[in-house]
Amino acid sequence: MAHRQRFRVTVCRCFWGCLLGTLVLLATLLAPSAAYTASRTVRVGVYQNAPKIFLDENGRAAGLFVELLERIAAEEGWTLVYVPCEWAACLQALADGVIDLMPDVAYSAERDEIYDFHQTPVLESWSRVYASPSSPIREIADLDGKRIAVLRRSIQQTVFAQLMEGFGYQVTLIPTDSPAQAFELAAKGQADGAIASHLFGDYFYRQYGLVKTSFDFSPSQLFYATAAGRNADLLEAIDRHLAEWIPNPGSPYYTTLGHWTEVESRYRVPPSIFWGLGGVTALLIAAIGTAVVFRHQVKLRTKRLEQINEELHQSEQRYQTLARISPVGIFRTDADGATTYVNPKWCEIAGISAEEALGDGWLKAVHPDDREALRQGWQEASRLRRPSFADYRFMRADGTVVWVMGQAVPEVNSDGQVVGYVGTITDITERKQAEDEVRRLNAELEERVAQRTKELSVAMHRAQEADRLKSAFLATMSHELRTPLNSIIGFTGVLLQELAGPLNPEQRKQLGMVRDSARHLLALINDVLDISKIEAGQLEVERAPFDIRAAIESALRSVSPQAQKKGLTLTAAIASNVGSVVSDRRRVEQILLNLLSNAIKFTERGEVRLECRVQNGWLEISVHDTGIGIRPEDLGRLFEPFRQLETGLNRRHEGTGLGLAICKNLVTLLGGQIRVESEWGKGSTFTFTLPIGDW
Amino acid sequence: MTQESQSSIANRQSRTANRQSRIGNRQLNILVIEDNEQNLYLTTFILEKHGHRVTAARDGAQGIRLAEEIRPDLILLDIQLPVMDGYAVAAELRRNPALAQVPIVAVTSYAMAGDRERILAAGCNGYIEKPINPETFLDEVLAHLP
Repeated sequence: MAHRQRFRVTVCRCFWGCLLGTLVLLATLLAPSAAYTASRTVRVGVYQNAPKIFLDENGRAAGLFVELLERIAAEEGWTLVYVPCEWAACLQALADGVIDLMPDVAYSAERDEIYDFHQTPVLESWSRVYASPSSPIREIADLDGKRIAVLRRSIQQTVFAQLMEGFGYQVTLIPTDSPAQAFELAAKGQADGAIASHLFGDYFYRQYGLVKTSFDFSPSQLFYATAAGRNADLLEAIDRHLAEWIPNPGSPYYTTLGHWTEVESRYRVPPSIFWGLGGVTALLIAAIGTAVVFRHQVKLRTKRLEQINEELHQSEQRYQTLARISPVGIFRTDADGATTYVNPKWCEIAGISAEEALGDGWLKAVHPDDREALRQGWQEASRLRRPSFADYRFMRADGTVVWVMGQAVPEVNSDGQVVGYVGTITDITERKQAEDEVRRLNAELEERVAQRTKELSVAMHRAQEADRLKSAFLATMSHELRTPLNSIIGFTGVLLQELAGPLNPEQRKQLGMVRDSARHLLALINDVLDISKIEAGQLEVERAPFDIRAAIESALRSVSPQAQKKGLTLTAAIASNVGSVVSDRRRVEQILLNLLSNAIKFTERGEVRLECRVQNGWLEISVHDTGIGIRPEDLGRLFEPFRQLETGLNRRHEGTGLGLAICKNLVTLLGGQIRVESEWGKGSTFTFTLPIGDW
Repeated sequence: MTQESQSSIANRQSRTANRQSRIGNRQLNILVIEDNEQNLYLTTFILEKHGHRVTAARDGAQGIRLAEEIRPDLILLDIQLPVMDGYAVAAELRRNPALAQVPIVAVTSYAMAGDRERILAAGCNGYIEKPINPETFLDEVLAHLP
C-alpha cells in the first residue's frame, strides 16, 4: 500500500524532474572537462548484492553500480581494479585503505564519520521483508517470534532490530554475508523471512520462491563511498557525472538503470520526493504497527476480561453450590461483624431460620451460658480484625443442645481492607460427648488409682511395720538367746578350766561336746543376725586403715587347728607389696574365716592355700582347695542365702548355709567383688577383691 | 562364730601373763551390775576364783548407790537392765566426780550396728560381747585398769 502511494507521487513530479535534468545537462556540456582525464587506478570493492553489484558467473564484476562506475571511468580515464569481498569485509577494507572506492553504500550519520560520500545519491532504496512461503508474514504483528535473515553490519539490520524492539516483538535476527544468502535461508525454511533492499528483493524473490510482504522500512540513499578524507577526486568526478546524467532521461544513467531494474520507472524521481516518501512510509509503518499492537493488546485484554468474568461466574456458582451442600454451617458478616448470610446447614445446626440469624439474631440461638462470652469474644475479634475461634453451644427451641466448633477469618479486598468475615461452624456434639465420656472414665480411673495407691500405701506401711518388727524381734531374739548361751558357754568353760574342781576324762569329754554345741549355736545366731541385718539394709561397715597381712595371719591362726585335725596343708602366699588397706577389719576377717573354714570343711585331703596380691589398685585374695568342688549347675545359686548344697538326711557338714551369702554381701558392702571357679571332684577357688584406698 | 572366739588364743594367753604380773596379786574391789542371776553368778564365780572381791547389784539404781558407797576399782555393767538401762547408769556414774576415774566395762549381748559407739559415748571404757569366753574374760576385764 505504501509503495503504491509513492509511485503516484513519482508520476506527479516527473515533469519538474525532466525540466531540471535538461538544464543541468546543458550546463555540464559547456563546462571544461580536460582536467579530469589523467590516468588513475581505482581499486573497487565488489560484493554480492545483485542487481546493484555482484560478480557474474564468469567472475566479472557486474551490476548497476559497476556499469555506472565503468561509464564514469571510461570518461575519466580510470583503470578499475575489482577487489571481491564480503560486505562487512569490504567496508573494513575501505576504511583500511585496501580499496579506494566502495559502491552501493547507504548513507548514515554513523558512516559519515568513517567514510566520505558524494553529493547526489545514485539510488533511493528501502528495505523490505520477504517471507518464506512456509511461514506467511502478513502484517507487522506476525513478525513476533520469527527468525529473520539479514545482511550482517547493514543499516537494515540496525534499523529493523530497533523497530522490532520498539514494538516489543521478539525477533531472532540471523546475520548473513550477502542478501542472496539471506534469501537462501528463507527459501530453505531455515529463516521465516529475509530482509533485503527492494532492488535486490524485487529482482530475485520469485527466483527464490519467496513472498513479497508489505513491510517496507528504512528508506535510504545509496552512494559510492571512499575512506574519510581520501580519494576526494573520485567522489567529485562521480558527483559531476551524476549531476549531469540524472536530469537527462536519455542519459547513460537511465540506460544503466533500465538494465538492472525490473519495475522501476524510466524516470528518475527527485531525491527530495524519496526522502519525503521515506519519512511518510516510516510514519505510516510506525502508525500501522502501533495500531496493530494496540488492537492486538485490546483484543487480548478483552479476551482476558471475558475469561475473568467467566471464571468469576463459575467461582460464584461453585461457592453457592459448596455453601448449599457443605456439611458445615457457613456464615458471612459485614466488616462490623453483623451477619449477612448463613447457609442451610448453619440453620439446621443452630435450629433457627436464615432470616432470624441475620445481624445479631444468631446470638439468640446460642446457649444462654455461652452467649455473653461468645458475644464479647466476637466483638473483640471483629474490632481487632482478627480471626476468631470458639467452641460454644446452641440451644434449640426443643431444648436440645448442640456443641459447635466455630471459626471465622477476615475477608480482605485488594487494598488490604477487611470487608467482612466468613466462617464455619461444625457440629462437634458427638466429639464433646466422647470427650465427656473420656473425662468421666479418666476421673473414674484416677479415683481407682488413688484408691489402689491408698491400699498399697497401707500395705506398704504394714510391710514396713512388719519389717521393723522383724528387726526388733531379731535384736531381742539375739539378746534373749545370747543371755542363756552366755551361761552355758561360760559355765562349761569354767568347769573345763577346773575352777570348780577336778574332772574325770569322761566328764571332760562330755563337757567339751556341750561347749562345741553351744559355740555352734552361737555361730548360727550370729549368722542369722547378720543376714537379717543385711536384708534390712542395716549392716554398717567401718572404714579405717589396718594391716591386711595381720588380718590374714589372724584368720589363718584361727582355722589352723581344724586343718591340722584333718591332716590338710594350710599355706599362704602374700605378695610383698601387700600392706595396709582402708576397710572394716572385723568384716574382712569374717570373710576370710568363712572362706577358709568352708575350704577345710569340704576338703578331705590335699591342701588349702591362700594367695594375696595387689592387682590394678585392688587387693585380691584367693582361697584355693583340693576338695569336692562344686557342680557347674550349682555354681549359679551358690551365693544365695539358706543354700547348703548338700542337703538331706546324710548331711555331713554343719552350717547355716548363710556363710557365702553373708560373704558376698559383705564384699559388696566393702566395695569389692567375689567369684568362684570350681571343677567337680577337683577343688574350688574363691576369690574376692577389695579396694585398697578409701572409697 | 566358732572360730572367732578361738582366735588369738596364743596372744591373749601371753597378755594375761603380762597383765597379772603388772597388777601383781592385788585383790581388786569389783562392782558387777547384772540382772540375770546365772550370768551374775558366772561372772562373780570367775572373778572370785581369781581372788577378787565382788559386790553385786541387780539393777541400775542399786549399782549407782553401791558404787558411791564402796568406791570400786572397776565396774562391770550389763547394758540391758530393767527400769534404768546401762547407758543411763554409765552416764549417771560419770556425773559423780568421785567415780570419774573408775573404769566401767560394759558386758552386753547387744550386737546391733552402732551399739559399741553408743556404749563408749555413754562413758564406758570398754566393751565385752556376751557370751563371754571364760578363758579370756578376766584378761579382757583387767585390760581396762589404768
